[in-house]
Formats: sequence, structure tokens, C-alpha cells
Amino acid sequence: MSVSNPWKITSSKIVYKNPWMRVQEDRVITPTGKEGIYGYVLSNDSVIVAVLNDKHELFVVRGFSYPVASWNWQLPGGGGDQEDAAIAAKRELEEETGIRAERWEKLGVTRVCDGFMRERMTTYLAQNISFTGEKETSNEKITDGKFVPMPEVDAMIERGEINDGQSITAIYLAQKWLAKAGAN
Amino acid sequence: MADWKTRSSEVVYETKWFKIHRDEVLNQNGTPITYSYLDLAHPTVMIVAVNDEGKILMQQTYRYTVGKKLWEFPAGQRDGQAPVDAGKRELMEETGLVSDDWADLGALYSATGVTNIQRAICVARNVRPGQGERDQEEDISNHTFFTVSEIEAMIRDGTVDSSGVLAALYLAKLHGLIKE
Repeated sequence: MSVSNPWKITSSKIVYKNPWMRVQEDRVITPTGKEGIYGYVLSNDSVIVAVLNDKHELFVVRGFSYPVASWNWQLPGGGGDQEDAAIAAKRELEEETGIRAERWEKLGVTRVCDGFMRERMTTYLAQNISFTGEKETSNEKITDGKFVPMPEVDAMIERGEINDGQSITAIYLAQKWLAKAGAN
Repeated sequence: MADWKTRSSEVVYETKWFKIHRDEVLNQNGTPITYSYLDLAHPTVMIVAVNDEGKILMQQTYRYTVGKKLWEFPAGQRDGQAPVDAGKRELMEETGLVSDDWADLGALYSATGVTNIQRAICVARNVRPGQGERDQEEDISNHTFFTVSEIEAMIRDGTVDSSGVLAALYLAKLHGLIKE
């Protein structure tokens, strides 16, 4: 495995910017010696939360994804506002669902779409929950939320009703955590 | 519940591979929002390639955005092809392997808040070396077959950290196409 970057970057600029993402364009010489450009998105690192109730059912939310142009069942989460991931997870969960949790576990950090993006997502497990009765509604994309037993979560994935890779990643990590907790 | 409505759409950046849109949008409550996202020209395909011992092929792919090689499953652009056809082509180009036993498990979105990137997940079983055109351009190496539990250990220690790999592995397991 090479340790130095086999791509030579001759110049680099930000070609688009908003509070959530920057688009960077590098002029490069590829490992085979060709000149070209490499454009990619630098979005804020994100968080996703697997919320479990006492029965170990998982909280799923329904929201509209504008880039995909459809309503989808997902786990709550979102782009961090360049803050600490643990703080972002608590803020996102409460804003989107009105849920507060007493017990938090960090389950892992994964990468998204490595060809065009550098974003990393931190998955948290949230337990011992309560509902505040309040949530942000005006700007949020979430319209519905419910607890679903794990076998039904799996069935939703098999039927394609949960088809978001980030949510499935978090479900995988949550189930591994549950299996380990059950074994102890 | 009403879908979001696009009031105007502008392409603020474009490469051969993708466009960045900045749209003025009304959400389900009628609230105006400015929404930017990455629009990929072609959907992609990812292949879970399983050999006759039930081991799964992983490879190290250089990722420019991360600046290093990551352990991943073979994957690439579909170039307008159906998932299994694109999967057969990509598997040959990247690994030199063929299979007579393909399953299309449907498509997963990569990051629904930021992009429409969609990846069809295909499982190819009983893969074997075949005849065909390899792609020498891509910086891919260390093709290795691992057991599912070896891959899961690599996920636990952070050696494998690609969300696409975790999701594809989970989906293939749910469909009963790979076993512990």
C-alpha cells in the first residue's frame, strides 16, 4: 500500500460553498500521468441515531429526501453543524423527534460515497428515552415516526421500504451491539 | 403529505461525472428552502462476490477524496446498463472474475440528504477466474477473499469503514445469500 499520494495536485479551489457543503475542484496529474480535474463535495460530517425503547424496538422516521425526490423511512440524523458528534447527535434527535435519551453509546464511524464525498458519519445508540412533546416542524423534513420491532425493520429493508445505505449501516451496528449485549 | 415543490433550479458546478444543483424549494409545510445537492449522472453498482467456500472478495481501492486505499467491494458506474449486466462488466474489469449465479438485491441510496447517488447491490456466487477485458487504469490492489466473520472483525477494528460495504453485507445476509 502506497503511503504518498499517487495523484499530484497542481492547484485547488472552492467552486461552490454554502453552510452545509463546499465543492472543491483540484487540477491534478493522475497516477498514469494524465492532466485532469477532480471535483468533490466537502459536506459537514454527519450523525445518525439508532433509538431503542425498552422492548428493543427501533425508532424509524419518515421524511422527504429532496435529492432523491421521494418519501423514505430512515433513522433520525443529519449533517452536523461542525460541532462535536455527540452534541450533534443529541441536538438532531431532539429537533427531529422530540426524543431525549439518558444512555448513549457511540457505535462507529463510517464513510459515505468515497468517490465524490469525504463525509464521515458517526452512529450512536440512544436508550432510556423520553419524549419532550416538542419538535421543530417548520424546516424539518420529518413528518412521522414509530417504533418497529427488529424483525419488521429487516422486512422493511428486504421489501426496499428502507433503502438508505446510511440507515442500514446504523441498523447493522445497532444489531451487532444488541447481539453482544444479549450475550453478556 | 405533499411532496416538496421545486420553484427554480440552477446548476452551480458541473463535471463529466456530476452536477451540483442549487434549488429554491417549498417543503411539505410550504416553507421556502434553498437546497443544494450532488446529482450523479449515472447510478452505480456494487458487487458482493462470493466464492465456492462462501468467502467474499474485498479489494483495496485508492480513494482520492480520502487520500488512501480503502478495503471495499468491487463497484463502479453502471453506464446505462441494467444492474447485473453492469455488475458482470465491473467484476471482470476490476477482478477478472466471472459468475453464472447473479442476484439483483435492489438499489440503496448512499446519502439521501446530500445526493441522489444510487447503488444497485448485486451478489455473484461461485465466482471463478474468467476470460475478459481487465481495466488497468484503476488503482485497485490486494484482491482477497475473506469469511464474513473476518470482514466483521475488520468493521469492528475500523479497517473497513465504508458505509456502502456495511449496507451491502447486511442486505446480502438478509436475503440469505451469504452466511456467517
